[in-house]
Amino acid sequence: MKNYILLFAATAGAALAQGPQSLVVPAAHASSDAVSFEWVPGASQDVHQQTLVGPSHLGSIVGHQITGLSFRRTAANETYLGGTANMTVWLSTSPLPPLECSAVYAANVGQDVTQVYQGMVSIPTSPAVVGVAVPWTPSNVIQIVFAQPFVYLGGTLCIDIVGLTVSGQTTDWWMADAAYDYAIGTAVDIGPGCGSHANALGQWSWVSPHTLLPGSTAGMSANGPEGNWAVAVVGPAGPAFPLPLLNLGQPGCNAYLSDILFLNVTAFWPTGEPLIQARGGVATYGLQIPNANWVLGAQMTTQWLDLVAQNSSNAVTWTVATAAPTLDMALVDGVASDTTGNVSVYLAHVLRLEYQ
Amino acid sequence: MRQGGRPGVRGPTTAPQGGTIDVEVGTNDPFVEVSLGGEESTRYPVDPAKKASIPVPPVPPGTLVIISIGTGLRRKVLLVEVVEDD
Repeated sequence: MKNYILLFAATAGAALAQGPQSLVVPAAHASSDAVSFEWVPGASQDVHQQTLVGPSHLGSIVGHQITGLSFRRTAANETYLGGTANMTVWLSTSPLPPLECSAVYAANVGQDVTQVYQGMVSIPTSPAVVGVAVPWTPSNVIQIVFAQPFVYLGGTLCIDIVGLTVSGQTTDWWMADAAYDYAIGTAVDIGPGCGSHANALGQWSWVSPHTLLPGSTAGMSANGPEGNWAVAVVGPAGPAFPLPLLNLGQPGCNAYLSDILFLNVTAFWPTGEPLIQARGGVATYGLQIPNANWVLGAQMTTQWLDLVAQNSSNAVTWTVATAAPTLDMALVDGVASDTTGNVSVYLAHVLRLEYQ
Repeated sequence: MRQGGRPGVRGPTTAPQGGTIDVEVGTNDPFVEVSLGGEESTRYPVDPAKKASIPVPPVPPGTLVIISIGTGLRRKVLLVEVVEDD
């Protein structure tokens, strides 16, 4: 027993003597600029951002206290003006891996959630930086030193930040470095839609190629008259079939599916933006893609039907990426007052975690 | 060129006929949506460098191109006026 106590004391002493250390995620961008950028919560608008960091990035800090985090500016031939943001930061162990990140903020937060910081954060005026290397110098970095450390015990780390603007202290364009995963699916139109919302290419529905990854949620959306019922139909592609034969569509409207595997009824929800009111509302459907190798390269087709106007959309054949993503991070980005945000599993901030 | 926009998205305030509108997107939205105020709209992807290149639609000078990103409370709108090509 005495030996264990001595060993513990020696280990703890060594850890204390070591002082704060840092870890950049993803490590590939520890000193080199990543291709993308992302805005910073509270710098120019009230923003809620969650970053999920997978355990593949964090093996070296298991059992350590995370004591702070930093954003680094992205390389650009542009001076970023400084300001101040009012940030609240929570850390937790997320129940979800990055690829299964939810658009609902609360679903990504773990039971061990800890508020680690609340207060003003200084955003430095940052001179232009060009080239492949961006150093973590004070003028390039937004640093948050936690008031309450968080012990990382493994799993997916959820970094949850609500940033509010400070009157007179906003900065319109201070972009932090962000990593980008090139794994992507494809979406190709195989037949045009009908009705007044179809554009010159016959489109009024889309599938987001960035969401076509194993473990992700395939994102499908369509524009139509506000309030009309809409149905998304997913299945294998088929030859054009005139919908009026089924009393389901206007003349000239075709179905391009040979079977129906998934079906979702929703509505074209108003956008609340007067400038694009004529464009109509937006209907969305998310279909969970299994996190398994057999889905790589798998193909489906999506088509929408406006149940009121009896118009069918363009049919989009989509293919899941042929390679699994490796970023192992995700970002949920939205407004501070909302309960949901936009998920990207291919794009997330480059972050430096301080730990001891 | 003068820049316009809302927090999180920026681009020019004018664009010449036959030209291209280059927009920078600070949010994680994968596309921008373009309309002329009618029922039709078109989407353009945001590339890894967070830029979207939008061909100026074949419309008369003075027409406003409405570029929007995001949905719901996250929606942001950028207006670009088409001008004569000099």
